[in-house]
Amino acid sequence: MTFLRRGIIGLLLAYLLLPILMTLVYSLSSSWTELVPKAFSLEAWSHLFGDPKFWADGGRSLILAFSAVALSIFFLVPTLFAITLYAPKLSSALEFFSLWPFVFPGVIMAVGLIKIFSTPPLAISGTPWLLIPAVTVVVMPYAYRAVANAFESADVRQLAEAARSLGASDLQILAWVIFPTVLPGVLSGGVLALSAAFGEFSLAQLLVGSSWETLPYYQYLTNSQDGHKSAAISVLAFAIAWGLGSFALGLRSSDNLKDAVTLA
Amino acid sequence: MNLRWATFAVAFLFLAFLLMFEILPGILLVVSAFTNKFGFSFEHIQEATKPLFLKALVNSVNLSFFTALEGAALGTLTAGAIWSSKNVKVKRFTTAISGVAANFAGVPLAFAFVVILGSSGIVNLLLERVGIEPIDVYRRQNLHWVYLYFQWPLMTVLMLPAFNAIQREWLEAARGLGSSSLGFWFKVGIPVLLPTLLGSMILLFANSFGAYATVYALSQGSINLLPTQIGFQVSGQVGYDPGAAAALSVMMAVTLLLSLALYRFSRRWAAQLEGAK
Repeated sequence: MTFLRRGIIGLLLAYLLLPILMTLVYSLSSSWTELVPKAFSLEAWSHLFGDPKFWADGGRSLILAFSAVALSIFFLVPTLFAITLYAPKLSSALEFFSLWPFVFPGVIMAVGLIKIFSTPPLAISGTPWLLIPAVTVVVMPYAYRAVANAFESADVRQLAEAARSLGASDLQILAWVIFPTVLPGVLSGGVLALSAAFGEFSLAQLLVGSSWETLPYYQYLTNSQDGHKSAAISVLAFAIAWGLGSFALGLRSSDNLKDAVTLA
Repeated sequence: MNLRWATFAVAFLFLAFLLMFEILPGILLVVSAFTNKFGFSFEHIQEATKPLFLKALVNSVNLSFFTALEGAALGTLTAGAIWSSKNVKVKRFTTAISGVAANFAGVPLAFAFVVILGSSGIVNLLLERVGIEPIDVYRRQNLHWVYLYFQWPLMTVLMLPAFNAIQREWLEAARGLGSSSLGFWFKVGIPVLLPTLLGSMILLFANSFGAYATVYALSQGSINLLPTQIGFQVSGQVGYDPGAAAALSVMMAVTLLLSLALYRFSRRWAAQLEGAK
């Protein structure tokens, strides 16, 4: 049993890590046509980091990702607050609309969005003004899950009532009781949504393409031109996803904060 | 400031935002699938059932069903292995990397697989050396190797909570009462896991069915699947037919909606088991 157990875990780790490791080696090799690379060089990486377009596109990806996350948190936190405290019956409606991209994923969202936003008076197709809201909708499930879980497990209703009975004002309740309690959940959801928005390709390609180029689109164009450079981007993307993912996971394990709060 | 009204104001803004960028596009999609210039018509639906598109639908169902099955089998075994492992470091690391890989689809993943399974891919060179036919990653039949990269870890993270609901003491108690390990899994383990297993498989199916970026980056759409056909019909590189795109989108949305309904059913079933415990 131990052997089988180690075997399957090892197999998964190999399947997940080997493609990335080999891609890393490929990005560091100048030619790799035999089993072992002939020569190594940092050329691909220096080309990548020396390309002003890489920085411009990366900057746009950052703008896109942070705007999408900021928007979803700005909408979700007060809405969840209002629904939990004053209108619990609406919570299933909120869940339905937050998980909508499950039924309407990026590709088909694009079909509907192009129809509405490519003719005046709303001709914003091809601009970030359409891409940002569209990506916000597509990454909403990531943010929603984490934020809603935080509200649920913190028992926000009870916390608010307790604070109110002690004479706290509404604003004090929000700022000093609710906000710190749900913060880890909000952050972890935000980070997961950030990671998803940063790598979003379907909408970027179908809605804006090269007129507002982001990093995944940059890599897509690089694929056919310079394989070693594209390999470097793959490795970079994995490193970013790994960094953000571990950060979110770290936040989730601080969920035991809520026990401290309910005890106090 | 009145908190109730302030938060409700944001909630209404949110609703307006959703109406504009989510609900209206969705409604318009359905409307344009069932209308032409003159009004209600099945014209686009009929177009969407032409052989090329039907083949795309069949291919997508095949690929998604197969990768869901493959991912479910491997992921369940892996989650079980993680559950029974006593090495905390291995547990943590495997869970963390699975969480990352489950969401790592798209252009970067496609290129990583070109590096290992492309025409001069390193794994292919290795396979050739030992006399096995190389795996051509650009062919539809081999796409499942790429999808397995996110399906396997996704199943693993989905199954972990279900395994964690099985107390290790149960297994010990069953053993103490004279049951074999195998007997325990058949009588207790599998029934407890079953609803989550089926529900997660449905999620895997949907995950693959709506995936566009990976296959597009890999083949520029030369692999005939439902998402790539929809992309073509809106972006106009090969054909341009927004009506057909809408009809195909409705086809896809209906399939995903059915999956979602089945998933909800499986969750309710799991909750019932939880209650019975």
